Parts: sequence; structure tokens; C-alpha cells
Amino acid sequence: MTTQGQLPWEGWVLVIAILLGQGTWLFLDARKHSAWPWLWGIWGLIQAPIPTIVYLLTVRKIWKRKKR
Amino acid sequence: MSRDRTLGDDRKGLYSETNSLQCDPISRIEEFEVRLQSSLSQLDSTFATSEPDFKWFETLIHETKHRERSRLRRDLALFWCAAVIILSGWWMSIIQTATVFLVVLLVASIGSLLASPIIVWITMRQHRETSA
Repeated sequence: MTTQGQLPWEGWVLVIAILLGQGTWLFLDARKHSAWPWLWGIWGLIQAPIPTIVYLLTVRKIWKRKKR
Repeated sequence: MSRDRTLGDDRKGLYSETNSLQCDPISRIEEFEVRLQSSLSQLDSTFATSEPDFKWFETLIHETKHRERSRLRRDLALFWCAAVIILSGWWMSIIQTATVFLVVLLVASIGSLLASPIIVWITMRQHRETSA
């Protein structure tokens, strides 16, 4: 049995939507902050949610904002 | 009487002198201000500056916004083209064999985890350079 058989089509649509949404958000936000938009965008299309976490920690530096 | 009168005259002269000394700095400042103003107005008249039209600013803003929007649309279209290619490849790898997909996922995960410290280091360096 393949992996495709284990997941219903709604699940695949959801996975693709998540990856596409994540990649697009990363691409646009990195573009706004001039921080390698293509790298972040393509990485965001491959997997989730590691790219978003790494992006928020390295580029957006959310831990610094919380300290303030 | 005459001695008193001369003393009084002397005092008046002394008062007028001290008065002139006290007024002098003020009058000098006033004179300086007048001269400065006249010189500045002369300078203004020498270099005629033409104030740009308000419409010019509006068109500049409009053009810049339009350029930025078209650039964003182009970049986004390119990114979505790349996304279609990547996601279809990803989809095909799942359909063909789960092992190919798992290998790709594993390679991507290991590669990204290995690349993370390098990305962190480079971004930190960039931030340090921009803040310095």
C-alpha cells in the first residue's frame, strides 16, 4: 500500500495548501525584509513547520521582541 | 552752587556714557540681525529655487507604487511557477514510490538542519554589519 492510499484527497489538498501558504508567506516576508526570499520560499514548499520556525528565530528574531 | 552744578553735569555725563555702553551690545545685535536678514534675502534672491509641483510628487509616488506592485506580481508569479514544479515533483515522488519521497524528505531535512547554523551565522553577520 502506498502513502497516497493512506491519506484521503482532502488531506492532500490540506497538505499542499499548507506548504503553498507557508512558502508564499515566507517568500513575501523574506522579500520584505530583504533576506533571501527564494531560499526561504523554496524551503517552505518542501517541508513544514521547520522553515517557519527557523525563519521566525533567525530573521524575525521573535525572542528579542518578547524581551522588550 | 556752581560746584554742585558741575558735579551734577559730570554725573549726567557719566550716566549717559554708562547708558550708551549698556545699549551698545543690544544695538549691535539688532544691527547684526538686520544685516544677516538682508544678506540672507540677498542669498535667496541670488539662487532662485523652484519648488517642485505637488502633482510631480503625486506622480512619483504613483509610479513607484505601480513599479513595486508589478515587481511583486512578477516575483510571485515566478515563485508560484517554481512551487508548481516542486510540488508536482513532490507529488509524483509520492505516487511513484513512497521510498523515493522518504529519501527526498530525509535528504531535505538533513540538509536544512545542517544548513540552519550556516544560515543563522550569515544572517547574524548581516545584521551586525547593518547595525554597525
